[in-house]
Amino acid sequence: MKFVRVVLILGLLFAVASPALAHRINIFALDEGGEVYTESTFAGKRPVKKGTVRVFNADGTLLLTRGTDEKGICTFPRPEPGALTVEVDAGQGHKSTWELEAAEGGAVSSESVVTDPVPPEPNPAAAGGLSASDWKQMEQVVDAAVAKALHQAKEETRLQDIVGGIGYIVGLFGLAAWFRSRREAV
Amino acid sequence: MHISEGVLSAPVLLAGAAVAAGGVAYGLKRMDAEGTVSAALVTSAFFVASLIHLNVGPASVHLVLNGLVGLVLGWAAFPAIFTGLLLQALLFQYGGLTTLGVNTVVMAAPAVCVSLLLAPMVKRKGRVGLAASFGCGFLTVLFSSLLLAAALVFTGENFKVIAWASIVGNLPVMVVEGIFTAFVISFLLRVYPELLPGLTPEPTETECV
Repeated sequence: MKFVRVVLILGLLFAVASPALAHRINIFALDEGGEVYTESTFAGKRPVKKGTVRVFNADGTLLLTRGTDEKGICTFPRPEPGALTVEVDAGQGHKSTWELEAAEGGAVSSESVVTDPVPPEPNPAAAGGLSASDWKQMEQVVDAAVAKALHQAKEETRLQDIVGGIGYIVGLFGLAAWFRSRREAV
Repeated sequence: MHISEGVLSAPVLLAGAAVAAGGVAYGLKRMDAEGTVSAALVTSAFFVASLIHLNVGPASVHLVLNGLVGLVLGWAAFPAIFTGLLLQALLFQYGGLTTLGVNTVVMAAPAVCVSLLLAPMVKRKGRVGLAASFGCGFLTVLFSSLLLAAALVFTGENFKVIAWASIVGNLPVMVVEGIFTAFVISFLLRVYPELLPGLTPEPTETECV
């Protein structure tokens, strides 16, 4: 009877908790051909409004500071081609970072695409008559979309984590009870 | 309420870890065999509570439940909240492992203090007890917000500004938390008084409203 009630209460908790959310903060940054796009969200895809975005280089030097808009988005031209650390600060101790890799060939700027060693003339063998630079651009777009989707999937709180966590709690306190009973028996 | 990694300086992190370690050790020492069972139950509730998200007007807040944890467990709130936060950090990336100590102190210290102060009032029947449990939920979050501001002040932020922001930001949580705590405590006292050995109403107090 008691057990049934406890299960009912827990069930109710889960029903309320369906879109699992809290104040975890996340930033996602992407280099779109020399323009860096960042999106900052709290868990549950709520945008970080009025957050501060700071960009550091590999030495930890602050390169620029920007604010996020109503959608948590902040874009800026890439300050330097090397690896960057993009940080979002929403105040109240909420902070998160994203490591942006050094600019890849072709992603540095539109200028470098033109001077790319790859032959610029259209290659009839390339799929559907796409030129090499078209192909490269398409690759970049697909890469970006996949990176974003993967990041969002990772961000979601999964039911198995919740259930697993409760399992850990039961196990840990069970261990505590076991140690106590051993000590009392001695 | 969860401070992220990389925000606080080493001295603050170490001080937080030291206080948390002391609190956890003392709480474990005070926890008896039966207390272990309620500690596990309440820790589970605390662990899940941060995922429960409520929209209060324009703000969206999540429950903390540290007031409830303190009221049910007393000093054992320290190990309970520490365990809950550890798992939240590992599984949901709330807060972080380096800030675990500070976060534990921010949430557990007010829980212990407020519950020790208010427990005698919570025991009373009727409106007084209900108001005291509401106050316990409300005040615990209030003091936690202040402690959070105090921890962040060492990062160079202005205390008044950050304390005010923290209190205003958490005001909806305080109200919701107060109502929830009052509801849960009155429910538990009626249905499972054995879960609350420290709070069972004394038979002499019969002034019912």
